[in-house]
Amino acid sequence: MLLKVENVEKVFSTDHIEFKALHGITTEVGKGEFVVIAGPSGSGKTTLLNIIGTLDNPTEGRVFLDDRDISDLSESQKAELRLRSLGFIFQAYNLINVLSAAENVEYVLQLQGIAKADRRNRALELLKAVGLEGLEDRRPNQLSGGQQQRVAVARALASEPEMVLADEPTANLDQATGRELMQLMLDLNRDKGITFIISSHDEMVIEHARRLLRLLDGRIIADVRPE
Amino acid sequence: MRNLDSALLALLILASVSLAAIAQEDINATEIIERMENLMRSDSAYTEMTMDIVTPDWRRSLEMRSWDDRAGKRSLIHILNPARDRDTTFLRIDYQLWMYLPRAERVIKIPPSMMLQSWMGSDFTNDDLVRESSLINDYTHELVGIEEIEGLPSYVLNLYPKEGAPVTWGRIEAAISVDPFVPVRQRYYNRRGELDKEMIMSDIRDVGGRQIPVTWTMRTTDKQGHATVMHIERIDFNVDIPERIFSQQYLRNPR
Amino acid sequence: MRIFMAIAWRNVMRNKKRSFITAFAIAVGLTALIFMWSLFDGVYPMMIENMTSVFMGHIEISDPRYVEKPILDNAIVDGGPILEALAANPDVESYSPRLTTFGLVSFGENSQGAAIIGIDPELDRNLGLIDDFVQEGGTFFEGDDRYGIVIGATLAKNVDAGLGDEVLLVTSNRFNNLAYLGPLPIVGIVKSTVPEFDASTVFVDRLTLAREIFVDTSVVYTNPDAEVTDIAGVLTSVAVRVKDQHKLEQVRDDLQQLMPPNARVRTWSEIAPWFKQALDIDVVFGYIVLAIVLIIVVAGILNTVLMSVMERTREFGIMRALGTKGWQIFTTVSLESVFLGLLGLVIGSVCGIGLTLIFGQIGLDLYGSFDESMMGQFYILDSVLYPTLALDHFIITCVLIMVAVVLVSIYPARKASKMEPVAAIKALG
Repeated sequence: MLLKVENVEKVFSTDHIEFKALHGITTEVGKGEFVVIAGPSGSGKTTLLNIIGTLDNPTEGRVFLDDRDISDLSESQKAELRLRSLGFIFQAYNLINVLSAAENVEYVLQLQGIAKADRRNRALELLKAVGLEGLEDRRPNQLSGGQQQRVAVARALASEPEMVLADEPTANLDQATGRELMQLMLDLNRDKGITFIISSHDEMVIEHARRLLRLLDGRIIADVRPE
Repeated sequence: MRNLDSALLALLILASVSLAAIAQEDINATEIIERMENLMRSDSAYTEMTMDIVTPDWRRSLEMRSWDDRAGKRSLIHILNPARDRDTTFLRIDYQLWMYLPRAERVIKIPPSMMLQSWMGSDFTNDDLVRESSLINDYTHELVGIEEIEGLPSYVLNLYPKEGAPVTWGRIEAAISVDPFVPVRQRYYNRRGELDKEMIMSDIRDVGGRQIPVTWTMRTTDKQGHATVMHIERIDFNVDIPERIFSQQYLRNPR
Repeated sequence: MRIFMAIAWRNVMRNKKRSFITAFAIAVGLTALIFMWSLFDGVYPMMIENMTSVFMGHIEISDPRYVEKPILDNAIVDGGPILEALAANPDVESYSPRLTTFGLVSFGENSQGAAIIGIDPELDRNLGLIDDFVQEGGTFFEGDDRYGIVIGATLAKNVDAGLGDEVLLVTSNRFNNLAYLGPLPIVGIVKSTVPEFDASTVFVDRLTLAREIFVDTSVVYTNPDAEVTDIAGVLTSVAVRVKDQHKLEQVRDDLQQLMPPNARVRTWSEIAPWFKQALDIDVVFGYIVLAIVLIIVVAGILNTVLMSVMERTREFGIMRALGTKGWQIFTTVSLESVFLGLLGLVIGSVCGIGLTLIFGQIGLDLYGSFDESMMGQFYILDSVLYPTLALDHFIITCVLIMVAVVLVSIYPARKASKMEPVAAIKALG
């Protein structure tokens, strides 16, 4: 199993209030799956995604990535993990503003110490794969929302991660563009076997799910594979 | 007891005589001064004198002659000896002072900045030559009593400068011997009441028809071991002084 | 590393206006500092030179009692050995004995008080001080002029005398007796940078003066020791120039060892401590300005970089999510500060050095700002100043600024590096 989530709880506390965002989440995701975590705002889907992505720590419970307990890792090790094994796509403002599309994609490769020539080629390849050939040297502010998300996808794939996590990737896009993005991700999942875990409350996204985890008030209320 | 009585009596007599003397003279403190001035001065005079300047390390002697027209506020002093200073001459008219320097053959007018400097190295200053103050007119006079000064019973008077008088002293103490009636000592006190200079007059001789002291010794308190001693060789009182004496020409050529 | 430099630099350029304003603030501060130091470095040597050159020399030797009360009684009458010691000392560049007294300069109807200074013309010329200031047409006792007098310009004007006019010097001798020299012709007129000097000084041959004021044929000695035997050894002070100004104190101590008990050796800063203090105050002033500039730099950088960091909270979060380590974020932000600082440094250096070089050539003319009487107070300054670029001050200033930049960037850099990815990502949308 690629990902195992065991009894994960998350409590957010401030001075006056404690808020339990996740109650005893347990689930597994296998390699090559295309999972959508669906639920209304506040249902905990972003929180869960963050925990899976090592961006946040569970208050209780454990997460295993490739049978490795990620809760035990130091910050530095988590960063390393994120760098090599995970890909992230966020809702918006995904990219580093001062770098071009290609440079954004190259960024993760640079962090890994990959040589310039190889980096450049790979970046161009990936940008081509997401349909952005010719736009490599454009800065994010010179790209549309959809194009920016495509760059994010390309970047997420750059380090050949085991898993790509996308948090509300279509939220800032119009329907048509959103669809295109979903299709892209599905194609990559099918063609390259890359595991996707996508959180969204968008019906259109949910439509595309090959496996659907429904969350409500921090609990999994459904786990289905709509075929 | 008897001796005491006698002593007391003697004292009383002496006191009453003195008191009587004083009482008689008290209102005449000014008269004493006037009489002294009349003795020592005249409207005009010709003087020949020597001046010895004494210090712990060396001494000098000057011979000079002078004409003094008191009434006209003019005087001329002509140095005769020694050779170095021969024919150095000073002409005073009013508050102005000129000096002839024979080796340079030049006359210079002595500026205010030089006035307080020593005159020819003596304990007198240039300013003393032009000082116009009159013991009679510029001072109030107070008779203190009779004391023995320099071996002679003398009137001791305090002279205080009058308001606005052109005088640098805070007080002058004048001692005039009762008999013979001659000045014996004058003490000059500065405005802070400190003794600045002292002049002792001694050697009473008959000069120019008067009995006056001919040796005048001036000492400055600050300069221990220094003294200026003047010997008057000759004074002609009330002479007629030719006008040409008090002139720039004569200044340059005083013979 | 290169990608962080690229990110840092491009971030600096992203907000051109803000970055340039910050860099400009630094540049202005640096320019001011460079110019100020250059002025000091150009002017100090001049001030010291003026101060010592007009009259004093680097070192002065005199009887300590003369220092307290400059009267002839406190002169040194056995100065022969002192002059010998000076002649033999290898650290001494030149020296000149002086016999100073006060008297009257008289010409025609005019007279004025003055300091009458007896000098040895050859030795004083070697000293190379006053003779530089002798005006056109005159000489400093050259050749036949040896037995004339050299007079300050203002003094000459006050007694209405010019070159060639014969002037009388009247004074008191050591015995308080009247003494005079002359009439002597004016062979040179001196116009120095020191107005008081020009108004109150007249030079004459020392031996001639010594014979007039230390010998008096009318005097009979009661104390034989009081008589002066070596007229050439009569002086009130000796002005000395040293070869190496940095060894000044050492030379002073060396000389003092060789001196008879009645001679005290002093450096110019001991003679005019107020002058040294004025210089020191200027240095303190310089450091105060430096501190102010550093504060500006710190404030500017802190403000700009902090703002920049705050604006990019989310971006940092994303970078962290991508696997960027904390120290890498730290480095990026630090580099931004460094680039800003360098930008300011470059602009400031160009302007500062440029200004210095320009004014170093044409000179900074103060004449308009100060009037003559004020210049009298500051007689240590010429009216035209020439700043000199001092490389060491320049480098130190730049280094200090960069250090300040780096230090102040620690705060925003740490802040950025410590951001939790999640919190950062949540920060915007």
